[in-house]
Amino acid sequence: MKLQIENISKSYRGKNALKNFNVELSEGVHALLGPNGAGKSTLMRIIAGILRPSAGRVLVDGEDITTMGEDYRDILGYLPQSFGLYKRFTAERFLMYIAALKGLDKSSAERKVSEMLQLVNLDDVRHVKVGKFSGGMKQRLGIAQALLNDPKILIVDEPTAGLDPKERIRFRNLLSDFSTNRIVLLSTHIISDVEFVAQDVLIIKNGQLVNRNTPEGFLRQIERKVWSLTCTERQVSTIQQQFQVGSVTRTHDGVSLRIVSDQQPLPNAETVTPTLEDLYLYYFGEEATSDEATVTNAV
Amino acid sequence: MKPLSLTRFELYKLFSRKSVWIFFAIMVFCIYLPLQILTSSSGGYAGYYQSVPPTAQQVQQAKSELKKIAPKLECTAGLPNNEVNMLNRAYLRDTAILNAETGSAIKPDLEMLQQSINKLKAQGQIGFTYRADTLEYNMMKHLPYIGFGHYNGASNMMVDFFKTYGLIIFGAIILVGLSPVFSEEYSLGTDSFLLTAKRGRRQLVTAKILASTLYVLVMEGILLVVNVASNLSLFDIGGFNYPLQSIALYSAPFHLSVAQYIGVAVLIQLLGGVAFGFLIMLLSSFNRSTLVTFFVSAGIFALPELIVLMFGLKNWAQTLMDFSYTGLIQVSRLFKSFVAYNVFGYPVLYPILVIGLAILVSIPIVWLTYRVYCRHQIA
Repeated sequence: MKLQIENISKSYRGKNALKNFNVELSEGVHALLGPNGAGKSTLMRIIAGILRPSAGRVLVDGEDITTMGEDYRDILGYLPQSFGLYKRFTAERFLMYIAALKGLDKSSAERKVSEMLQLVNLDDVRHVKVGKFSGGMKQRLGIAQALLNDPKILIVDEPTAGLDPKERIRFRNLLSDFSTNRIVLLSTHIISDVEFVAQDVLIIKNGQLVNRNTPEGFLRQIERKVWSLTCTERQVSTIQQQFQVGSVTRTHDGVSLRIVSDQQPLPNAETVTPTLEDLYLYYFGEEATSDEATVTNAV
Repeated sequence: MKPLSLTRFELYKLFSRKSVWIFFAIMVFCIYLPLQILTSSSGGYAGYYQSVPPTAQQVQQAKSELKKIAPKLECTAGLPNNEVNMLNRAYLRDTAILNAETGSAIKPDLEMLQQSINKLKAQGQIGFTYRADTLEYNMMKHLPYIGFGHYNGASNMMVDFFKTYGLIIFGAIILVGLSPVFSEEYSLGTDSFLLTAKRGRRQLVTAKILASTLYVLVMEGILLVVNVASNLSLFDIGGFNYPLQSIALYSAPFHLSVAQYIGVAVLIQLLGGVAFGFLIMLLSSFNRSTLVTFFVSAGIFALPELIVLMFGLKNWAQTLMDFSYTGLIQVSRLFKSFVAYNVFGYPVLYPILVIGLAILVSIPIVWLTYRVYCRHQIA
């Protein structure tokens, strides 16, 4: 199966959220990485068919999703970045409703709903009203509804937001198992989600695809561009003004800085093995350091 | 295998809303019933209606009774209340009998219509006015004997309910229940689940329309139970087989008993409610805010009545009310007298026209609802 995003552009009131975005996706997990406002959610909504692009089209095996209509939605699973739930519904009733929307018959729906509730660890609270759920529980329910119809194309926008580390690992494993013979597009700020799950990373910045590679490929690209040095407390602010500083760690010997730079920043700087966090910093610079989520390494 | 029913879930969404039931309970138990109990306790005598031509003996008796009662009624000072009441009741009864001696109450109207028809025919004017007068004459000719007097028992109160409390409660309950049908999906953020699901567009709109129609039906049913139960227990049981013209629809040209009229009124109010419901759903499909939908719809519902109150008998105000959802749901307006509109030179009765229009207008409204929702985007 091939999902083609062909020259997609989207403008809102004169502002370009997406500009000529072109990419072809096949089976596997593809991570969309970018800071806030990069256009990730806009792209995902367009692919999910709930936002019309200003130009371009989305094709599944050569067929436009707008002409496919119900047939496309039949193979689609979508988890939006922010969503609401019906407070009066129990978890079970909510998933049964989604199952009805997805066209499942009664026995299939009952089976799949039970399966999903167990998968996302909400089986014990299936009869509890969703209004009483915590944020993490709601997120898990959101994930469950996206998988109900066994979608061939799964779009998940910040799926692990609000999940504790244990649930994040559980979700990553789920995605990994799920992605066989399916296309999964995942947008996230959480680097560990990308590291352990994604076969393919798409860097999006200012509405455009900047680069695409495997995680290992990206790390090779920034080899010898990540540095570590130790300095005094007084030097820290000066160095931060001149270079992209990732982490700042205070030790007995002084302050240890991790810097991303094409050139050696200071004579005493030594190269270190890059991580995907460094990649993020390399591409998004100041946007990344001002975005708290990018320096979160959950596990 | 058949997919799960969406309508069931949409019905659950409508009926599980606490605000609907709280509002309903307040309107019925805190406003309607106390006022109705007050009315019944101060009412007393239900009145008298002479429903058949009086016999000679009845006429004789009425004449002699009136001769005795009339002087007593001129000076009731010193008489106990219950005796005064009895005198008044007897006076009403005897007056009705004596009025009925002259024949059916519509006899003068029939004679006038006959004269008008003959005159128009003689002048060769056989256009709309001739046709309308002929239609009215034929309708009235087939009416049963229309007597005199007035009966204000349970039957009249039940009829009255449709145009007063029934109108307000029914209209409000439809507003409260249906305003959030689409608006809430947008404001909650559940629309992203719905629009990306296989049956989350056209089939979902169909389910919502079916559920909303059932909701209106159930509410009308509940209100009918409230109407019947309250009025049968609070007022004199009777008058259901009297002609429609025996209650406050004296000039109605329709051959219906009061009981038949109540049945027809339920159906028309239901149709009006469903049509109004469709309009609310369309407005809801445009709006993210349930409150905006509610207030705009409430404005559409209340405005004709307010305009009539402000501008009284002005033609345009009456026409606006005649062709409003409020007028249709009120029902009595459609029946109170003979009204026919000129459609290509032929008279079309006002109730038929307005019901037809309500159905016709609902078609593009429903079509537009499908279109608006199915093309809804989430930015």
